[in-house]
Amino acid sequence: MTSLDDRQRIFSALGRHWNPTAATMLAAAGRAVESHASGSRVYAEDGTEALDLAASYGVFLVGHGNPRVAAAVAEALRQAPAAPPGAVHPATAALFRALGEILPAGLDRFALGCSGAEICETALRAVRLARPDRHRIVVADGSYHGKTLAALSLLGQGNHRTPFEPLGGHLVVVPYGDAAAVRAAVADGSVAAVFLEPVLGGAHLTVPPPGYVRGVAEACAATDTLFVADEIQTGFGRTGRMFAVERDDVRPDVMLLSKALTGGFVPIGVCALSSAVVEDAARHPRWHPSLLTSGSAVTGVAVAAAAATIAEVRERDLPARAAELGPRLTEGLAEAVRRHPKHLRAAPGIGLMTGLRTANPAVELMVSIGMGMRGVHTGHSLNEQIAEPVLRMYPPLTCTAEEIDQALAALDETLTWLDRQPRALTRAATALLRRQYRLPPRLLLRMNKSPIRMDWQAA
Amino acid sequence: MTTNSHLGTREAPDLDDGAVVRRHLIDGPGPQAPVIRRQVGARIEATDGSVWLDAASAGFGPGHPAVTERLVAQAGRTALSSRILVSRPLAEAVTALHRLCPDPLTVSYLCNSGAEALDSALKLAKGTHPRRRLVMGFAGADHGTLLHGLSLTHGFPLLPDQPLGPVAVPRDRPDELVARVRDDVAAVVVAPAAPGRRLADLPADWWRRLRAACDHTGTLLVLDERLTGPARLGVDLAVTRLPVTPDALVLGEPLGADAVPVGCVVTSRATYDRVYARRNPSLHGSTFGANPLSAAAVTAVLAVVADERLADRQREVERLARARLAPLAGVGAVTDVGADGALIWLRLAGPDAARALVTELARDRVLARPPDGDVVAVLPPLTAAPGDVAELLDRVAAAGGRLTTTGPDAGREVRA
Repeated sequence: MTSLDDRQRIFSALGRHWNPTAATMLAAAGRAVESHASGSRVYAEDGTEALDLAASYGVFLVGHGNPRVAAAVAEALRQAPAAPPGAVHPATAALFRALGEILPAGLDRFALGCSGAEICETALRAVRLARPDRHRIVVADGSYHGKTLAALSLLGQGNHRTPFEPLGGHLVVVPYGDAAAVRAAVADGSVAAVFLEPVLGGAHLTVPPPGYVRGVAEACAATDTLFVADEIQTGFGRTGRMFAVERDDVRPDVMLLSKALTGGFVPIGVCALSSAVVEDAARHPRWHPSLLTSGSAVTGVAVAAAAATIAEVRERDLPARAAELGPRLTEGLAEAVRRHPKHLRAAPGIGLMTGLRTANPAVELMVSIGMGMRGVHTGHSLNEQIAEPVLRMYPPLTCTAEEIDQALAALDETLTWLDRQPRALTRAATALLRRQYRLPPRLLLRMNKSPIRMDWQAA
Repeated sequence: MTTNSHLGTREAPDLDDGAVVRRHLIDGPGPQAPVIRRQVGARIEATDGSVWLDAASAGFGPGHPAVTERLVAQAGRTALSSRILVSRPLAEAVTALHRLCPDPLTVSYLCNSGAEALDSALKLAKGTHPRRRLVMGFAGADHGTLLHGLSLTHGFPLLPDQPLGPVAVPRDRPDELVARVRDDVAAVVVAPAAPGRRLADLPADWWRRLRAACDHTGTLLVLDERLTGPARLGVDLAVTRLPVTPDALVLGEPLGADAVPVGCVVTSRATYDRVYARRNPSLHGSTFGANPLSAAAVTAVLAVVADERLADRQREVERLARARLAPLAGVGAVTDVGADGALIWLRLAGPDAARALVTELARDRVLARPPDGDVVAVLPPLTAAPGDVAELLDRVAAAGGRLTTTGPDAGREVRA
């Protein structure tokens, strides 16, 4: 159990020395202190537990603390945790062998990084080097490729870009799901690459119609434009296939992998490229191998965790499990939308990549809070600016049918309560949410009756 | 792009680990690279039975018992996190970083690498001055593997219209850097010292003039301590040896004990608030960043830095390096030797001689980074055993002493 004094110390440290606004929000929400996690469940120091459908937007694909990955991590920590430059870590070889067996054929050159954003930057450099005379990059509206400064220049989400604009004039944003828009954008041969999530993630979760990804890929092939598949959220079985591009039987020129790859243990990212892309890049007059080198922070522990995670995904055939269990969740969510249409719009989903498209950000927040009160964590978007955010549910692929039923029962209770709230209330609450960061932070704590004393105000 | 129903290819079964990594990894290690079996401090036991000494990683050093047990324990509870709940390890880590860094640097942003941390400092600069489109630094300096760091290193923009264009000033003309700081520059990035450049090479007056130029123009001064902090220069942070305080201080891989990827940028509350106050906290962030395992690593590493007086140990390394390596300078192909704490380097007669030295070091089972021009860095882990450091420096001295000086044979080994 965490005492109030102890909680106060933790919040004071986070508020003063980490992120004052996030600390305020966590305190206002009355969040407990995390203790540990196992399987599909997260436990707090106060003894409460929750079914984790947030799963860090897909990181915990093989469940929390997966025994096989945990053993690999512990062994690497004790035997060979580092991957110093100029040496070979055997787990790197194991990872590359495994990737070679599961990736679409032709993606056989790798650069490693420590996050999705890092390897997205690697891909951006690669396509620019490989297509030096083409200055434009195409992305989809609502797409997410990370928040480092260069990755930001690719972001299809305006609210994250605006405070840092101008970021560069090379971006072309097309509607998601419309292959004709991509064909038009690349037609004049001025586009170096199309960056695309095969299933649009984030608060914009959208499953495109079958054939869309193939259409994009064919438009790229017809114009010698490179096709970068961002499988950071979708990779390793989340959508019911090992990679989401398999749905359209497509082989990209570059593929980005991260999030679930180490089973929730250690940051990593892999930029997988075809040899042709690397060879094209190497013909650039200013080519230097360091331009596509791996990040120096990648460790032996990270590659060991990644190799073990892929082994777990394959041995337990978790993509098939997502395909099998997915309909139980997606159909349950669709039924929830049918039963409670007042505040919901749709239930997009494929495999175990699912969510509820809500009427407005206040509804997303209220459903998220209601689920939390009933012991289920969901993936809140933290995006109060878009019109109809999707509350994400990305359970571990190792979850059980009973756990899905538990989540759906909690959802039905939550929505039954929500149905009693007028639409006007959620619209007013949305207006308030959109202004919440301009309110005095202390007011937020008082409004939520938080016992935490806010001692991290700027001087 | 092509479409093809055939997915996946099996590796030829006879390829060993080294061959597999070389085949697939861009800019991968050479054929002589050891395949690691076990690591402790500077010692790398390879699968072929050879024992190498690490002068390449510049890290904290793997295998420290207290750090290892802390990481194993944290990994057994929760490593990454769904981040719905409040993180005690994170609170501990940012408190430890606050104790490490001088005022007013009190706010820490934890992410996944030193490169990301440096990028976060530049994003902070871009958010402070959105209309400014330039970042400055020394040409050739190592500022990590992300776009803007690489652009500074190579001295040209890697994208035609990237968020910040690089202005890379030659390393031997620091006054030009100060003179070029104008109100079109979002940030200046400088490391306190680097292989080939001593801490003392940039005098106190230069730092004061740079600080004044940044203050005058509102340009953010970013101090890149990914290599120098903590402890490497014989002080907890190199910034404590400078007469100025930067707007952002960047720390990197050593904080993760070479086991967990982590980086950190530390700023003042005022600098942070200029961009991020009263805005959605997800405006900047990362799925993995500030995770409990990396936070536990930061706390454990900084505890060892303090409890075991690692800075003092690096001063011992410096004394030893000066004793063993300084006599090489001016005798053979080695023209200069530098040692600021455990930031040790040799300047050779030219790039060929530098490459030859790295080859010689590999022959003597010393893992070294590829040379930067004519400079070879010797960067043992902070927790390397004193005996291993002595042996490492002996091997460097022996390899350096074997190289000839000038002419067509420059850098070649002198064979008896």
